Amino acid sequence: MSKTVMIVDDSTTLRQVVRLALEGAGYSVLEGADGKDALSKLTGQKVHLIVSDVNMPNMDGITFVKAVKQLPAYKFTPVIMLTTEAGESKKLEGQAAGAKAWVVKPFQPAQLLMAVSKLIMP
Amino acid sequence: MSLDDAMQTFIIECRELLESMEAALLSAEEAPASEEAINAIFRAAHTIKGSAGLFGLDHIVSFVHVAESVLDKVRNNEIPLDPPLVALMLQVCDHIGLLVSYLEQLKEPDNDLLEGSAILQAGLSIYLSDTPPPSASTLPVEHDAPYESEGGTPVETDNWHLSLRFNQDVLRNGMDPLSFIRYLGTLGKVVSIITLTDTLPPLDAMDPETCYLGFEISFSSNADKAEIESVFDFVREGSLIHILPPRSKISEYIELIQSMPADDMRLGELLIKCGTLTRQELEDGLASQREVESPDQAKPIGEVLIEQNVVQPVVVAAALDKQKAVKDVKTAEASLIRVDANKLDQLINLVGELIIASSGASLIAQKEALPHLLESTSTISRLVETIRDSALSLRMVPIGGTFSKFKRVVRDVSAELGKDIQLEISGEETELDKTVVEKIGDPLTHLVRNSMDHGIEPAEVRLARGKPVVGTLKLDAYHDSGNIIIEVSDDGGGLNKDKIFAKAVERGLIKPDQILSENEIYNLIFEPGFSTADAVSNLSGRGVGMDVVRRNIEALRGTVEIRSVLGEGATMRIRLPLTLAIIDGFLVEVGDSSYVVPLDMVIECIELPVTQAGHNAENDADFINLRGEVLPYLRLRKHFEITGEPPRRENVVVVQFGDRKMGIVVDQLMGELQTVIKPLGKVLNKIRGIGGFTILGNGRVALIVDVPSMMQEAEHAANAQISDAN
Amino acid sequence: MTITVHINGAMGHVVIEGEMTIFEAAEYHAALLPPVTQCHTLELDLTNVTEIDTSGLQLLVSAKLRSQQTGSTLSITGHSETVQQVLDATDLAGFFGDQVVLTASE
Repeated sequence: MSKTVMIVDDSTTLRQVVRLALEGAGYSVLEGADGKDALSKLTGQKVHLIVSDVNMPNMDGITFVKAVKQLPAYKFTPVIMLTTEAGESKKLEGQAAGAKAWVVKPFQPAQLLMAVSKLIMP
Repeated sequence: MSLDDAMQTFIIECRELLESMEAALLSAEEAPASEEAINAIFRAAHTIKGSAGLFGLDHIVSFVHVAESVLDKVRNNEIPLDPPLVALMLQVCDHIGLLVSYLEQLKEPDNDLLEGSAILQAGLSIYLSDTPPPSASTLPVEHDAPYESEGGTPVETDNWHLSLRFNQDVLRNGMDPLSFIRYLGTLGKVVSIITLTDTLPPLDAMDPETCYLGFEISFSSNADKAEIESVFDFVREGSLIHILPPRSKISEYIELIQSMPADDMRLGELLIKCGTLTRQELEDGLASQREVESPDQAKPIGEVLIEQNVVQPVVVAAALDKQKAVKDVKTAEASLIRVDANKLDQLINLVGELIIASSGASLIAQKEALPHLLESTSTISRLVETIRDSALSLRMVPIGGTFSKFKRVVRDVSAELGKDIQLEISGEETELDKTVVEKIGDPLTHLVRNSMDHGIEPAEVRLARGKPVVGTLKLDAYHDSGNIIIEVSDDGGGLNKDKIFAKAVERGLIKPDQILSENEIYNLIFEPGFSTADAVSNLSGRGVGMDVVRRNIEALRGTVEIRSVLGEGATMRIRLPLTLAIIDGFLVEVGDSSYVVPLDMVIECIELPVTQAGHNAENDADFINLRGEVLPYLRLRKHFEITGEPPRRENVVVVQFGDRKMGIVVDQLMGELQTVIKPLGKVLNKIRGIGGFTILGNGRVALIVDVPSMMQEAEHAANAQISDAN
Repeated sequence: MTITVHINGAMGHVVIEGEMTIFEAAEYHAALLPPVTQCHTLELDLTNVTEIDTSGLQLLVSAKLRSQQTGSTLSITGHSETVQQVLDATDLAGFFGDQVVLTASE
């Protein structure tokens, strides 16, 4: 059974491209449009890795990661934060929240795929 | 789904983001922007940049990046979002739109486009002058420090050597060291590996969630150092990761050995076991190391070893700028599904066929008079009705999106005209058919421009008239008995009846002695070739005239009317049907022909008073007294020249459109039915009084009465009667 | 995950099925402790382990180390493909196979 990656970002384009890249590599993909949406989709699912943007409406990435880490089923789930080159403080905030991996935006699909495959196999 | 589909999504998403960015910028111009609004603007730019990066669209990334940097400063309150910056950002919006258009048309960016980018970038960089913009298109690339050949001879091995001691928390952080080692295998070959268990406590004393294992790896790879290093990016913090390139100096290994917490000899042995060092090399190295006495000869560890990332996470104590759950239209959209409009149309068509088929079944049931069949057909009819409503509602969209586009129009046009005009919008949530929304944009733009140009007076005139200097233009939408009303109103000078009349005479549109109602005079401005402006400005005078506006609206089965009070302002009221495809109809018969009157226009049905029956039967129009009100009526029999004698008792269907009423005289009232409007062919669509046709359940054709146009005729005829009587 | 522990005097038989990852590590730790400390001969059946990460691996290593120190026997009677891959990737197959023991103590 392939591993499931959840991509949380408010951009439909980004989610679609990431889905293409990850599915092409053999992962299953779930999408969340923002933190709140993603959180509601996590329950009852087995997600092996979460890729989350920081700046999102409704619930930002930092709050989302903190909430995810509170869930017993996800307390050890790896989280990749999508940060910006200017967002060093956000990256540190994300790490404190529990997102220890990151990919700098803008990125190309291959770069994200590389980060994901360091953490889990398809 | 393919990358091409994703590109389409990108283009659509960009347009949406640009729209919301523009809206937020325009509102920022009116009142100081809220934190939320600024964040939304920033996020739009940020998202576009991020998505463009996915496709490797570097020219978009680098352009948007500069704008994003400026917006970031705004977000951090380093620079204010003042009018000049708003104006610049609006240009940026437009330019991004242009960049996206090139994509859409599969056009390579040309010089003009790139020059445009450069000019705006220069404008933006003024805001960034104190800090140079970080490079956007290229991701930071770490350059390897060259491995200098100093001190000692290189060892023989062609392999890299990796010493890995992980942070005890890696597992809790969701990182599995095994996973990194597995990934390492994609960059080369693990020649040998030693799993270190010496820090692993006895089973009863161990914390199962703490990572105790370490690894020494001999690794053969053509990858460069940065690449191998990057494998451990996510676990570097708090871990000891040492990577020695092939043929490193023996002294470097010695330093590695000494830098490790374990005792020298153990690691030395491990290196030998790993095949990284030979025993001879190790012994020589250790020996020479002992000889080194003077400190200046000792090589700083940092030069040789991969720098350990020992920076402890400085948890920024600054309070999290926790965003409140912003009620953002954007996110509401995220939970929506995009559906091809054609598929919707197809569905509506099918529902239309279903309605016809179901009324056919009902008809048969009625004929056969089988109770069971009647019952089930009536259930089906009810369900079909529900399906029809929900299918139609799929096509309904709020008009708000169209309205908000006018913020920009009003802003730009008022600047062009040198008038100060504010836009007030209400009824944004009013929904109407998507096709109607798409087609109403142009006529609406024209009406708005017309009001701004001809309606609202210049500031001096307004002052002289004791009005506020700032003119107001209002856009409003609401539902009114099965129709949607869109109003464009201004607080300008209003329409000058006499001036319009004179102009119309001058243009030969009417005769000087013609008697016209106020409404008819106002409506003259919609006649082809009419213009009240003394000087044709480049706005309203451009391209189409008001006649095209009316034609466009009529094509949507709508009407436009004008209310005006001289000196106080004018209101253009567009009345449109909610939907174009399916209506509730009222079936009537005249002779052998069936007609459908849109049900939501029908107010009541009365019997034609006997006094009228024979009266004036030769004329197709007349008027009756309806509870003290003059009700003009029109005989369908005469109007459509249907042969045969009218029955002894005729019926009047009283219809209302807007605030006008009229009667339609028919032979028989048949009752309500759902009707799918089918358009008439080109040859027939000029016929006044017919808006389309439909197929009845029994397969016969019924014509749909176009009440508004019939009303005009009835009024004309009635007016003629009145003036004749006078 | 399931872990089935049979202790019969000094003989123990443990069957682990499903995932052996950080999520279950604490449970496995608690369940493995009695057989590892009580049994002189312990058999581990890993035939149906679907996934194993570092946390699972180090539990096995720790149990094996203990058996070596106390002179008891711990043997893996069967392992899945996944377990085999991990043992190969970490060069620990020999260690569990009771052949050459490559530890710091050497």
